Amino acid sequence: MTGLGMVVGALALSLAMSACSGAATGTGAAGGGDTGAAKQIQGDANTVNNGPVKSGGSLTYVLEANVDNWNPLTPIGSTVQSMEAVSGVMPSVFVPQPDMQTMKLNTDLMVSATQTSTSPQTIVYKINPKAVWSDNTPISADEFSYLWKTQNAKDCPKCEVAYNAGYDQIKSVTGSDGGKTVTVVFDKPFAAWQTLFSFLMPAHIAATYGDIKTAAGLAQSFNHGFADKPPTWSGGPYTVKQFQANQAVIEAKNTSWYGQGPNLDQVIFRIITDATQEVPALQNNEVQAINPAPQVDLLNQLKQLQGVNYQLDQSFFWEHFEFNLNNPFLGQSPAGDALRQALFTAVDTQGIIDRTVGQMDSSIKPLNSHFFMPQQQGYQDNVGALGFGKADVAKAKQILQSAGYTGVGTKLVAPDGKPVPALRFVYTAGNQLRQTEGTLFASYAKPLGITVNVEPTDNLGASQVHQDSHYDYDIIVFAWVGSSFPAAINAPIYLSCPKGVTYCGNNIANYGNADVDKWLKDSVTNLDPAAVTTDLNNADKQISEDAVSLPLYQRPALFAYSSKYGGIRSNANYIGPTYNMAEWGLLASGS
Amino acid sequence: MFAYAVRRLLISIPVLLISTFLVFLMVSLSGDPLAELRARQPPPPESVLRAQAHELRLDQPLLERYWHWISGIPHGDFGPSVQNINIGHEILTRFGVTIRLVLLAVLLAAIIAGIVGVVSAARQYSPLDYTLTGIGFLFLAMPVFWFAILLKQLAVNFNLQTGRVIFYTIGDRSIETTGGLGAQIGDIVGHLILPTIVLAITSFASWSRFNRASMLEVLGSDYVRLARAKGLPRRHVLVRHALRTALAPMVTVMSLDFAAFFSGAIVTETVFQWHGMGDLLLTSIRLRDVYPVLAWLLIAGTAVILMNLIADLLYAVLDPRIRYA
Amino acid sequence: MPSTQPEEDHGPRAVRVTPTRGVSARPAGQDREFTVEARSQGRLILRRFLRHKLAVASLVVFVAVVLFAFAGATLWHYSYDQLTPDISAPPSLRHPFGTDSTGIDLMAMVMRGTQRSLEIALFVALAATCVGTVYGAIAGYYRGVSDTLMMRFVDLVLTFPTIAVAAILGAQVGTSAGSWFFIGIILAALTWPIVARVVRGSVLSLREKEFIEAARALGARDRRIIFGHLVPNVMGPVIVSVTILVAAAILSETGLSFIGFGVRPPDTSLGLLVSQAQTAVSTRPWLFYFPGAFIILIVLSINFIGDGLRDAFDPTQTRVRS
Repeated sequence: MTGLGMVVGALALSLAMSACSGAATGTGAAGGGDTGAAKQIQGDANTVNNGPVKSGGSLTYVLEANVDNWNPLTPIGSTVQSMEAVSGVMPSVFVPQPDMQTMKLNTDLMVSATQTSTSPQTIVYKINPKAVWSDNTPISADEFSYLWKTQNAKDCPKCEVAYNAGYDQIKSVTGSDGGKTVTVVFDKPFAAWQTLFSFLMPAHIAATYGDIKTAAGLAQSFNHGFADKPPTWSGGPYTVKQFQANQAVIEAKNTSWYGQGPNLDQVIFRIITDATQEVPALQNNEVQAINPAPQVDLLNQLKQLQGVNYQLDQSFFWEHFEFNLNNPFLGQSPAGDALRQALFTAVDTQGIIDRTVGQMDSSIKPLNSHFFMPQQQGYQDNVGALGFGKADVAKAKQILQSAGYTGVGTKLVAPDGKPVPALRFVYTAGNQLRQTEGTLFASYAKPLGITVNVEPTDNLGASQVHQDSHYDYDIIVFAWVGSSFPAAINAPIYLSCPKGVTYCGNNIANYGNADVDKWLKDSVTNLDPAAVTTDLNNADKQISEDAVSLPLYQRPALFAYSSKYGGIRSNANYIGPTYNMAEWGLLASGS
Repeated sequence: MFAYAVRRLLISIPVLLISTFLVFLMVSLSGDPLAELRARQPPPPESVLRAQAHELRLDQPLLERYWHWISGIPHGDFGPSVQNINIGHEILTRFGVTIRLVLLAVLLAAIIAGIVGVVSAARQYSPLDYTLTGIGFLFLAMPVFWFAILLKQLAVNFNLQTGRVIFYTIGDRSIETTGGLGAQIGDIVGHLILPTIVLAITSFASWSRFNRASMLEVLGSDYVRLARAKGLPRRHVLVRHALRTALAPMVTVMSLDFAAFFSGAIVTETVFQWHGMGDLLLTSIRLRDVYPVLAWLLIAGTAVILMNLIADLLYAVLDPRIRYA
Repeated sequence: MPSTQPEEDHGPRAVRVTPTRGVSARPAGQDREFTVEARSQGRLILRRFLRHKLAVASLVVFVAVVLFAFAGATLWHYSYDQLTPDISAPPSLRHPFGTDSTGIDLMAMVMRGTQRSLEIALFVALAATCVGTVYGAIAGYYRGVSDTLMMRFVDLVLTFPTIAVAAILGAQVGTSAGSWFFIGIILAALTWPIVARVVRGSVLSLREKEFIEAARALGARDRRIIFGHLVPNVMGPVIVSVTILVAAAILSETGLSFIGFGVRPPDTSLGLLVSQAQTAVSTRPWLFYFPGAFIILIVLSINFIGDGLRDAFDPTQTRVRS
């Protein structure tokens, strides 16, 4: 399982959250009593709020859903809350940093992890000799081998894996030096190798659930043993002391911990399923750290609180409009291409931001890449450069006219004489932000002579995969999630589908382009980062020109915590702010 | 009366079965519980989707799935869940959370409603009646969560003013309590008080309105006039004669509302983050997780039927003219 | 102790429909074969209602709210789906109720929301009351096997969790055009048994009374007894139930919106407005208080009207002489 796969849950969860809490009204700080009591923390994402801390104390951190499954590598367990709850228990080789691009070696667990050869790609991992599980069994190559076997789809076809890219390209995992050195050799190069071997689980405990030399034993331990009950063991700074379903996960210091810290005696993960209840709970000091989907009122409420720090950063979630190319009017033909391009040309991305998230965070700008976040190396403007999202109605009309459309501006008729039917714009029910985006899209399409009906869907997933006519769509708005390794996560969105299907992988638009396929396939296996960046930008230019989807903006992320604590900070990666739990602590100054 | 009660309960079994079947059809036909999984980014392997579908019995025909579920219940098997929970165990735990909230709220509401209803009726059109009626009407007119949010804000401000956390806004207790019995009780009461008030307040208003109306009706009847004519003290007539008869329709309304409390608790549980039955129902509906919904229905349905039965029996006790054979 | 019930003012029910009783307190015209009264019942009720000042005031308020919502929406220069340039503006002359985060005029939205909430509530009240009263009266009057069967059906309906059914079925409908109507139907379909049970309860004890026996002895048919004698005599509890039902319908819709299963955007209702504004209470209070105040205003006035109607229908409970 790669770290990339884990983001999965983050997406699903965040969609669900915004659906049910009606979260994410972007918007105006007007009227909000901007007393400025709460302090906004800004600075180097990787080191903000790192004041000196003392030992002892407790912190209550909010999870937005119950932990249903304790194995973060399964589809059900790959949720934000599962990963946050186990990130202090299951160690990872590399930890994604808040700057959204660095993978930092976990120096508590590892001595080194080095790529020693590119052909065949070979990585040598050296594990800290002192690294042990809480029952004092050494952490060894067995754990690496266990993760590989459960996720490579060959040794354990029945293992329920959220995502297996990377592991299925490994040829061998060999232990030496008493299990403290691991040599991993790949069949096919895997550029994002640093995402592998996240959330190590003890192989000797797995063996108590079944014979892990057999597929059945692997499946039993992976799907149930590690998933159904909270871990009684730990390889990280904390251990799960108690789990009260739907209430809380209580974690205490792991007495066998071999690394630095931890400072806090106890971390409680409190489950609050309605984001709007989090701010009063923070205000009432019932919790000390919250990570809700930002919403203007919520943010303004937060700003009024005293003794609270908050970070308003950019997340990996990027909102976008996406066409359904299965609709013959929107398909990949000269007429369809022109229609899609015209619509995106008429869209006013900045206008959408101004009416939504821009009011919360004025620094949000249109996103102009399908692969990179502006914070990442390799980001360049590929979308805006083509004139998309710039509210150029005249140019949009001209595109349609030169493609042979008639009735431009009144009642659009396709070049083949068929009138363009009303288009269904689908968004998640209850999400005001996306409702606004839909309403605005309809208003941009109107001057071209196109009617857009904005409809809510109660099941975004069903709509994305065109489950039936009820859930189908012509234009959809939702967020994809980016990654420190943009190639692997994004490739399934644009790789061509076989004939006769309406979607495949994440390619819900049913888009296809031979050149894009070639670039994307190379980007996943090419071990030269510069070449990967070139591949992705080439693909991006083509995808942008084909006007299949229009990136809007990077969604802001909100993280707020009591100002008594140091070391705690926002992290937009799948692992969340808990990535450095061992460093959290009460500020030494005791303010 | 015992035979009557048994007969009623027996008749209720098919009623429950029919309603679970209808809800089963509705939820099962409302969509694919795996849709969210299919659309995940990046997509899970096809084999995982097939395994999930098998585990949730989605590969079985609809009727077979229902039969499978029904036949599992006697063994305490309430079916699989998307949420990776043991439904039987889960619903029992959550029932405990909800019933505590509901019982206290019912008790609180009934006592206040009884007193207010009698006082209002006895002093009809007095300033006191107008005041009580006015307050009742106001509560009756307030959306539950609207009131809850205001109350919560008020309580938080109160805590901030006093510098101590007296009222809690989330959960039914602190995760870890320290201190002696007094502190433990304080903690539980501190968590209970706001949600109980919220849940009680709307029912109190409608019950006291109803009680007032029935009291007035009874006060105008022959036998109350007769009792007064006999020279019985007014207070005695009011409580022994009038209230007893007036309680009959009141009990009907109360027992019906008792079941509705389970629905009302859904909103209260959401605002105060009590993870009771309501929370499970909402989550399950959103996930199209059919079996927890059915388990919820079984429990809630049983509660309704029991309450209806109790109402009918109480009716006979309170109104001697009605006899069940 | 002063009696608040001048008992000489009202005859007991059993007496007021017998031909020998004086006409003063009788709901005249209720059953013509026994009456010597020429005044129509409707006029009497109207007269009594008009003396209930609070009810009359509430009626005025209610009519004003209806006019505001339906006529106001056609006159007001903003519509509920129109994006204005003023974003999150507090109340002003241009936007008396302020605007929301997308710049939509809140007064326009409140008008639209009031329309929806009223439509739902009145639909539910009418449908549930008609069905429930007739059903409950028939069940209570005949008792026996038919009563048992009818009441078991009521039990069946009552076991459906309102919110679950609304949520599940709501998912099937999707399009917003008919959604308020749909929620109305669901709420009505799930609330009529409440009326039915209340009516049945009253009828069960009423049917034992002398005036029913008298009517039966005089050869009145079942239908006449049910609709001529029983139903009018349960109007008191029914009207109290209706006022409660209307309140309940508006509030249920609010609750449904709060948990995300009510009226859906792009349409709007008061419940939706107030639930969308739940975090705005301390930051943009107008969004929270205006729709909330309208809910309270509507429900309050309907309840007071119901109160007045009850007193007017059933003079046994009032000091008002007719």
